Amino acid sequence: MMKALDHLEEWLIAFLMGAATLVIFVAVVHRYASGIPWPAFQDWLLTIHLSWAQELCIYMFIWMAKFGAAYGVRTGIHVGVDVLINQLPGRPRAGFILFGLAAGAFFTGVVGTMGAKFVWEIGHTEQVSPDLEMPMWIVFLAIPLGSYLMCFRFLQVAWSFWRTGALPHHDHGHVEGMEEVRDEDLVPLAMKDNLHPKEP
Amino acid sequence: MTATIIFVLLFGLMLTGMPVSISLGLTVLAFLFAMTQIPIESVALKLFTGIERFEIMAIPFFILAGNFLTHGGVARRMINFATSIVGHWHGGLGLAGVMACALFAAVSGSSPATVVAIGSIILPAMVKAGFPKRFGAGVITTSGALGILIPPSIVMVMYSVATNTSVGTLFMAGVVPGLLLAFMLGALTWWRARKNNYPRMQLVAGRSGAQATIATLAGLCASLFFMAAPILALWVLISSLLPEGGGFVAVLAGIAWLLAARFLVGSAFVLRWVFTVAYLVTPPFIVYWALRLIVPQAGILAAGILLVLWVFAAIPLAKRADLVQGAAIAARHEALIVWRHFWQSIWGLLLVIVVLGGIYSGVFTPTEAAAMSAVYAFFVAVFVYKDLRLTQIPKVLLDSANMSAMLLYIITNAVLFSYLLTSEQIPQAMADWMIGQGLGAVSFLLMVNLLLLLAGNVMEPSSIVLITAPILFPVAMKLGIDPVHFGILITVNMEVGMCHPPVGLNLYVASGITKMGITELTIAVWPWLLTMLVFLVMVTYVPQISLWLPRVLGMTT
Repeated sequence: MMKALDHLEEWLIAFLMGAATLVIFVAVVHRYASGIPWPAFQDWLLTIHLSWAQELCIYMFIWMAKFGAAYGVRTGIHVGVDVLINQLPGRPRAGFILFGLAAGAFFTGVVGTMGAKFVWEIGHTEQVSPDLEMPMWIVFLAIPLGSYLMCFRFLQVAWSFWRTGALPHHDHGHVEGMEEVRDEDLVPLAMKDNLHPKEP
Repeated sequence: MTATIIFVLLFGLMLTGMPVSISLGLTVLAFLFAMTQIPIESVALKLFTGIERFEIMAIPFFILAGNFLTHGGVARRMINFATSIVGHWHGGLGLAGVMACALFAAVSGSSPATVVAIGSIILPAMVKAGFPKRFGAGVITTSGALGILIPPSIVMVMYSVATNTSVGTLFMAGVVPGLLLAFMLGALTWWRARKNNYPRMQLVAGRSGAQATIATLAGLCASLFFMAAPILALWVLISSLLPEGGGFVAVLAGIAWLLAARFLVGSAFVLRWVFTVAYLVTPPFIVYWALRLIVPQAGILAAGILLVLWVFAAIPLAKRADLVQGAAIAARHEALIVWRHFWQSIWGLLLVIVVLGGIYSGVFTPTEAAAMSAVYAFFVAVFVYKDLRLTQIPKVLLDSANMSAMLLYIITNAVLFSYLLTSEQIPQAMADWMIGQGLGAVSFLLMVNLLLLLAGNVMEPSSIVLITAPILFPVAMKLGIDPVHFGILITVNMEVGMCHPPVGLNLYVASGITKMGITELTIAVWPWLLTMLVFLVMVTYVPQISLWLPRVLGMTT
């Protein structure tokens, strides 16, 4: 159950990231391709309207931001000013960390509730988005869903910190695929390829 | 009074170590609940509409592009290219590190990413070549900071979001300061290496420094010529044949040429005869255009004189560097090496043109340019360099989404916070108060620098920019400071903050790569950090450094 939620979250934000990039890419290519006077093809291109691409991209990224922020709590990417509290001895430090996590849970919980009320109200109106003409309550659903998920993640992290004393930590210096330094990397000019002739 | 309450609340919450975004949000919530009649429900709407702007979406795209480039072997090729150009001078690999950081900064918008991409390859190589560990760590930690000054830059996007300044203009304004800082860091590296007699690279055995320099420059000129000349010719041809929609066809033709060029760069004919033409034509051409930028009246006569002068100097120079083969000037020795590495790193270098050229020519908006660069970087990493497997893509997407969501979440809450400040009219009040104290532009800028350097001690750049810019910006405007100049100044401050403890992210990244302690790294970094502070003073009080290029391009007044 927990695993499924984790995976769903990861897949959703990775998908939104990739999809939004593709949408903008296609819209830009379409804009310039339809300017070329190639016969028949241009007429066909001109019948397609991609004016909604920008709006779609914004909504996708907002959804990604809300759910990604929840994922970020789990990976410990949300940094604060921890210089001071890290100087403290164990117990007061743990107290501050738990307070910070509780505050996060409180804030996201409040925002989620307000968002839910807001979505409920707007759900009874006929408001639609300007370009996509999608009901606004679906679009705004990102706030309660994302915030409640984030609230849940804060509680989850706080619980595991309480029990094990470990916090998730995001390592900025770590890059996937950079581990193996190959020997040819160490001697920058000894790259082997057949693309170019050697010294004549 | 309200201002005091708000800031005491904010700093109090921040000092407990909770995420900056949460402390911003809680401050707003608490203040609205306790002190005002503003309906709290408006907060929920603000949380959504706060980031409902297309300009902000450049941030996730730039992060995605940067991640593709870091994984995709672009950095390694840029290092090789830089080494082939500056490696034979004093402190060769160190200089190459500075240059590679500057090149990578031109495709990436983040400083720590630049340090990781360049540092993780070049630092082990420097240690192996006999440089002290401290020297390498110092060079890369500070040069990596170029990542946010040379466009694209995430910090500049943040500033433009907070103050409604044009991103494109800010990007252009970052070019000259970025090159200047790279030059200053490089000069210091060269000087220290010469003093301590650190190793130089000898790419070809038995060649003197002067020979190597001539051959390197010849190789660089020829590479630029072979890349640009056919594209320019095609562009002129197509735009005269196809007046409508010609630009897009010209771009396609340019890409086609570059694909074709990959197979031509190895042929003996190109290496001799094209090289000869390029060697004779390119230097006067470059000098001519540089001259045109400074003296716009320079005409065709000046070009002719330059060409004749160069022809007289060119042959003896080529003979000296042993580049002559029969009747032609041939790509040999270092020239051949530069040529090879240029063509290997060409796909990474072209991204600079996609982003800056695209924005400047108006083909893309900054956000579209960011999206295009992400798609382009994906294409290069997966299909051209093949350093990234398709199965790794979801991981890259997830990492980028994670980082972007964190930044977007800070933005959301910072927008909320600045909404609170504005509705309480705090920035205006502060501006009036400061000017009432008789604060002039000079002392204000000094104060801004000190404040930002101080803030750089405890917070990371995005939060600092988003919190301080809305407050400082109105004052700067009242004092007649150019918004673009102010943005560059803030960016340079952020750079300095990233390179010193306790929270300098670059330091932590470098420490992860070199396995050196933060204290030792701090000592290693200081000569370069001092140079950066000198540079900061220059940028603060000489606005022309930032504003010259945008003015020449007509993007600002």
